[in-house]
Amino acid sequence: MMPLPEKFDANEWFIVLFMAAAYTAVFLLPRRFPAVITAVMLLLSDVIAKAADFIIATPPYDLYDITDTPKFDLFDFILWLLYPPFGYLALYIYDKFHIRGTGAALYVLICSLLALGFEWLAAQAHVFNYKGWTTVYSLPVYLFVISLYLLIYRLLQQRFRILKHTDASAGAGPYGS
Amino acid sequence: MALTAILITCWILLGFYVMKNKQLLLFESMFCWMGVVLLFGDYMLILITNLRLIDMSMRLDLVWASYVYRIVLIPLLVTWCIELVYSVKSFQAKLILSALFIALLTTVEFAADWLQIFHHRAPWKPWWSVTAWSLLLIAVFCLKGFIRHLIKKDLRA
Repeated sequence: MMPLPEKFDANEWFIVLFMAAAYTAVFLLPRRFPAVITAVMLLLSDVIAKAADFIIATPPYDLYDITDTPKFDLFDFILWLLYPPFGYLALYIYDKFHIRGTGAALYVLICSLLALGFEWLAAQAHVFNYKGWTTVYSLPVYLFVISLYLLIYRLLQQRFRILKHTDASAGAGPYGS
Repeated sequence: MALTAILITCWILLGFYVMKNKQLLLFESMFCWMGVVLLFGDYMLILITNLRLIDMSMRLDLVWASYVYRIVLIPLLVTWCIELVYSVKSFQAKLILSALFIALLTTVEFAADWLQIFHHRAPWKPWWSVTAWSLLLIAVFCLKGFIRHLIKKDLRA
């Protein structure tokens, strides 16, 4: 159902090494967010990446292939697990340094440029095989997606505060904690 | 026509969902929605690209209808199902509602086929769809349980 890669070469090594580095960084950092916000934000990074790939990497647009084959292979699946820790790290820095206002706009730009650099490296390692797409096209996508990601985080943070406050003031909140 | 039909259905379902007095918290609705996008997305990709059991239309309006179907309509229907199942108390009512939603999701899948958004290839049997929807609902109920557990843990902390 999900084929293995044709050869275990540069693209698979790229995915494995970056995945190890990213998840190590996430687990080494002290816990910063409530578990529910972490879970939702991790899933959201994956959903955004997957939705973008559904739209532009499959026919009729079919602007790039991921890893060795046009089929949905095991490393395509593993690659999608690489996005959540990067999203989490971006969020961690944003929250730790209380970046707001113009700083936030600059931060989104820096994150987008870093994501662009990462995508360029991935393309060099043939993780992405472009068929009409180029790395630069991704810049507006990253700018939009990272801004949306941070906005959703702010919304969830606000909702969590309300939930916690309701729970504390009512004695037994929505789940009777 | 297919794109319009899907967009209007989504708009109505979403409108009623927003207005409804909800059982699910925002975190739970989002988590279930995204869980469905991921699970259903992988399932469709395997059927389309690896097993070649589904042919996608190449007409642009139908292609966009398929994106809305995968990313909005199906997750929205499943979220509605979870919402309604959690709003009834008895176990029998929960089972009946789940069975009704499995029937509804199967009907929507074949309606999408009828609207030519995609086409099931020859060996496809309707009971395969029923099995897939049942498994998807079970997985999403598990996700719902998991996120509720996390919320309880966070509120206790």
